[in-house]
Amino acid sequence: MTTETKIIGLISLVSIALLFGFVWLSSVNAPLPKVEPQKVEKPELIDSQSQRLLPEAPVQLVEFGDFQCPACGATHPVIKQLQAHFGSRLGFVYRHYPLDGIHPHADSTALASQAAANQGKFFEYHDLLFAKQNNWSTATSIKKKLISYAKELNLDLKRFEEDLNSESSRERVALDKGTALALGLTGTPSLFINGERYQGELTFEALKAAIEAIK
Amino acid sequence: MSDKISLTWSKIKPQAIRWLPYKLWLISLVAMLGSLYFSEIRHINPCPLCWYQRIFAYPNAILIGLIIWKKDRRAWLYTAVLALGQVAVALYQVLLQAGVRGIASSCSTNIATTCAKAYPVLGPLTLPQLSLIAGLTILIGSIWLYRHHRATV
Repeated sequence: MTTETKIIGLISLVSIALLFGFVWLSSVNAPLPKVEPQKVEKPELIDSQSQRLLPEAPVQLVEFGDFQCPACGATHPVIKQLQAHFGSRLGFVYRHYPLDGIHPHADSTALASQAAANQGKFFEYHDLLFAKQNNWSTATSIKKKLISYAKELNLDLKRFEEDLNSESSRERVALDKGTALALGLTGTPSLFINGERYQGELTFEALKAAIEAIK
Repeated sequence: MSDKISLTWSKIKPQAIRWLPYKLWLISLVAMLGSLYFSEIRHINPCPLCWYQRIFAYPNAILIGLIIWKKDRRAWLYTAVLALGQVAVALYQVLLQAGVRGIASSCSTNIATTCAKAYPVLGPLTLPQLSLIAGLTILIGSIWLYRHHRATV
């Protein structure tokens, strides 16, 4: 065997080994199974199980969001600003619309937030996901990241892991997804103010003006 | 001065011809394995334009290896054609991303719109930019090796 043949053989073997390694790692660190949207005949913007802040407030802001969407990540601090500005006058509802076609971790993070919701910390987990979006979006193992965030919030980790892929978590995300599709939403974030679809700029000033215009 | 350059080049040329195919092969393999690393390990979903670039780029990873093994130097023409396809799509995507500033106002259910978003993966370089650099290198190297083969037969 000539030196040249040995070199070709070595490069080929290393490449094939790397290929198999990637395939194996990919399966080991796979995101949680995707959630199929539920078929929804009569979509409701807010239902009894929706994650809500200040449900009695006169103005209700509903967001259909995707935790892996950079635009939702950029809108998150704007919504926090609005909440600080309007206080008890502004309620907030978060509904899941994970765009799993373009965001591989969208479903996993939605499910994780529901698992946190089962322990009463949905919005804490929601805030953490958006705050650390750049950190987990391209993480090798999304499950490890999600569990680490649960640990950060002092959640019961055993229960959290069980709830990550539980029937109830999947049903909730499936219902939200189906609602978004039934409403004809084509992207995230999709915002509604007191039931009316908001199509303006996702800036503090524009949203503040739209909320103040509500009589 | 030009005599010095010619003399230096005539000394380097045999080595360049000897090792350039391996360098092109390594670039092609790194391009293929690198893109798989980003999609399968880092979970950065390839958009449609990324898939078209892969269609042109991946065969070269095998083809160049075969050229080296079988010493079929006419086949550099085929790698050049594939690299040209990769360059064309990569260039289009680089220009597309250059035209989009800042974070888009929304994430769309239309998968094709994700091609316009730039994600730096190696320092400031994005995947389409890396693909363009790799494709151009393989294209120019393949053309040169093919022409060298034609000149010596």
